[in-house]
Amino acid sequence: MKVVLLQPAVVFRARVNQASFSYPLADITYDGVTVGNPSAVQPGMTVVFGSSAGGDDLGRQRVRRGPTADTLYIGRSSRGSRDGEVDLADNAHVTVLDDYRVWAKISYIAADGTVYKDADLEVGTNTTTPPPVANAGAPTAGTIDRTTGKLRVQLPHGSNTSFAVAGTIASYSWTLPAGVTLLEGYNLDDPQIQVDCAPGFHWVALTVFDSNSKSHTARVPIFARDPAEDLCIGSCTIESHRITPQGQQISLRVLESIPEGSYPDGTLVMLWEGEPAGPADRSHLVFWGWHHNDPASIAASRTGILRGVTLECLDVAGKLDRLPGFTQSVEGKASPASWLEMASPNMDKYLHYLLHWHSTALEVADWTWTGTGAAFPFVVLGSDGASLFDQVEQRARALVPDYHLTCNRLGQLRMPVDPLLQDIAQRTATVQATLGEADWSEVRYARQRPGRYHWHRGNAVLASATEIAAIFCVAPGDAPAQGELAQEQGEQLARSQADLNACEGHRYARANAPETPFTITLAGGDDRGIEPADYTWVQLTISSSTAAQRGLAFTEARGLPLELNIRYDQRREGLARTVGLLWERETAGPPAVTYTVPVSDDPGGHGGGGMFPPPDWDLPEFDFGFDWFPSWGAVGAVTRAAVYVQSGAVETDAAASPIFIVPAGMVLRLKAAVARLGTAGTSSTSVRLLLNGQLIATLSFGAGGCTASQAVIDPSTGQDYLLTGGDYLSVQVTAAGAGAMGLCLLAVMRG
Amino acid sequence: MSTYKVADGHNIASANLVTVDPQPRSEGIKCTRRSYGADGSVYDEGRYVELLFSMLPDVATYQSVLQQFGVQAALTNQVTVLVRDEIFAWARVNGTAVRPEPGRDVRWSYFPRDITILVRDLEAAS
Repeated sequence: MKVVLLQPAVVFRARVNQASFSYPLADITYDGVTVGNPSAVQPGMTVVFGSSAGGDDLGRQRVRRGPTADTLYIGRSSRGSRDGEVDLADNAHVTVLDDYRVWAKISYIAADGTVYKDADLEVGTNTTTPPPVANAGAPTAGTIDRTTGKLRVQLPHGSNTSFAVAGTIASYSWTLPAGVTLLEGYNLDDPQIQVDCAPGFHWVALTVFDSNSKSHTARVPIFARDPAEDLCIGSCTIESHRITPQGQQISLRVLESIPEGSYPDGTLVMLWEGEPAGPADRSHLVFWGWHHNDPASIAASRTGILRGVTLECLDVAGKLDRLPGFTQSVEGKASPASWLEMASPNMDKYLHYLLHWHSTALEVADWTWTGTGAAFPFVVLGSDGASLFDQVEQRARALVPDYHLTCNRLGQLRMPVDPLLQDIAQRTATVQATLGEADWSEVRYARQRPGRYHWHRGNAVLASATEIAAIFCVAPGDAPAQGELAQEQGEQLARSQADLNACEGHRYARANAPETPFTITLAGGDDRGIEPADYTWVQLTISSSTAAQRGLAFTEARGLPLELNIRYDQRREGLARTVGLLWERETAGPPAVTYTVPVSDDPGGHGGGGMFPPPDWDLPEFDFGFDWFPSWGAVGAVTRAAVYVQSGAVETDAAASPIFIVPAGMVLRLKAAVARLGTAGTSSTSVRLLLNGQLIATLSFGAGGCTASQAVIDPSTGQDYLLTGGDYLSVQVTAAGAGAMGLCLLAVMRG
Repeated sequence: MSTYKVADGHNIASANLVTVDPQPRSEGIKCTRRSYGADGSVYDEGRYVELLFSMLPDVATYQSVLQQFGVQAALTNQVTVLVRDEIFAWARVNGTAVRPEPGRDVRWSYFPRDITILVRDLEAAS
């Protein structure tokens, strides 16, 4: 096992040349260049500020774009000395390192409400035709060839998976640093190249251009080890190593001196075992990521002082999970004029939006999106404040069936579907490992036949670019099962009721799985290359001859690897590795049942006198704060939950175009009306709600971007309006200007 | 009859291995851990061999032995060795020699005694 910590080269040194500073700031003036020149400074590089040359006591940031002859552009920074902060003084030392990390890109809202990404980036066409994604492949490390003195590497290691978010990929361009030479027969505009790397550390860049003239640059690190001048950390053991679909965490106990001055906080870490079998081989790579923190110990003993430090390291997903993601939303708009608007929005584009504009993750790691594309459009979508990883993961899981943001062992970000929530026929057939009885030495599990949940309720909004309609379901059905608990899954985006029902049926079955996840100790200390991030199958066999006393046995049962825990026991005689696998056996269940409003208003329950009341529904919520009136589907009329004013004209009511007709046999109490006016609307907009042609409520707006709400009271009764089959609701809108408006009617079933 | 041999580096050909002088003894190649599969299959992990000297006549001889394994100036060294394997046949293997730890792998009592040259991480040589 070999470990290397990056000692980043200095590419530029200068001095701050500025008398005063107004925080937050995003650029500084410099002079007194002593190392390098501005052209060597690349976007994404780490810059440190110090009271002495190379020091970082005055803060650390990232270069956000190439500097001019006297101005350095950095991430937007408040005053301080931590990562993302600066505390500058005139003549402070500026040092730019050949070092790339995962940073959050901080947005900025100006006083006039204009949103800028990464300090000063205007929306332009960035949400109309977003830039492509460059995937340069996984990093590598290896010992140089004895004959050539070089390490030969293929980039990317597999096929080039760069892709266009809008349009198509038009061209590729590789940038090779000094010490990396292109092999004959390859060109720098080829999608795949082979290079020879001189001893040392190198960042190779790939820029892809799309048909909209947009571009994106990603970088991949390569380390070529020279045994004669070995930069690897020799005295090092692995304290812990955990591999999950969300990436790896590894702790390294280092016994030799690794001063912070040479190995900066947060520096790149690469860990590998053996040597690559060829230029494209990456199977020897165990981990790559960044140093996160380092618990240390100093102990005085009878015979001397014992020191130890443990480097806790995170991969790209781990870094994303420790960076801030702020509340935000995006709305569909044909011609976006703001970062809060997007042309033809769908979930994939939204996920790209989060990762590309709010972090540098895609500049240092490969990413592949869900591929669902236009199948999941939306009208408006937002995210709560959370870590950047959680923001993306939550939105991926909002798809029906769930997708996940994962990070494999090569540090590549992926978005696979969760096969346990798909119908069996649609589930992946890929088996990544088969564990026979020669492959495990211990299995632990618990079996529980009675379910844990008696009801699972699911709700979602139908994927649509024009309207917001909610759908519901309940598993196992109207009659609850025997479990103690009930659970709910909301905030989802579904293509159809059938899709939602299928997904939630499988989710219910999974929650009530008869066995807990199995804890398996793999024989021989071999992890069999199992990759939890792939969401593909691991098959397990427990035969009747090895089964426990209750007799649970199966042959090549499919399941998902949830976690690998590898314990390294470094003994005098050698390394003994113990690999523990957490494995979730495959489950499946019948579809959930579409939730329909009961026809009887009998307070006792369904159809008069049922023993069990129907579920109490919480109306689904999305991040933009609406409580949506469920759409029961057309009953010979257009049923809409949103009304759009297209060009300032009055949209007339009429019995011929109601927005909702109460189905026969249904009884509703109409409680309130809520409407939100789009940002382009004006204060001259009003909405009149009519019941059977009679005005019952008027909503007026103070300005565009506002919400108006009003309880709806029947004056004849002093209570909510009671609607029965055949009653219809319609809307009259008056607006001085064009704008979008969403209308919601809040109602509850029965009396 | 074969003897214990050593050379600096991995995958050194048999003809280029040098006889260890003086000759050690050993219990053959052992494993750090033996584990078992559910079907009874056996896995030996972390092969190593300990080359033992009960006593050497003087410091110079001890240091000469260290020099032969390349661990006089360094704590560890990559070597190719000819040793008895798990079934006591002679086998040429790559490994990492480790300088004896005083107090554990060597002790001084008028002479160097109970010396152990550990060669670990053994793999078949090509």
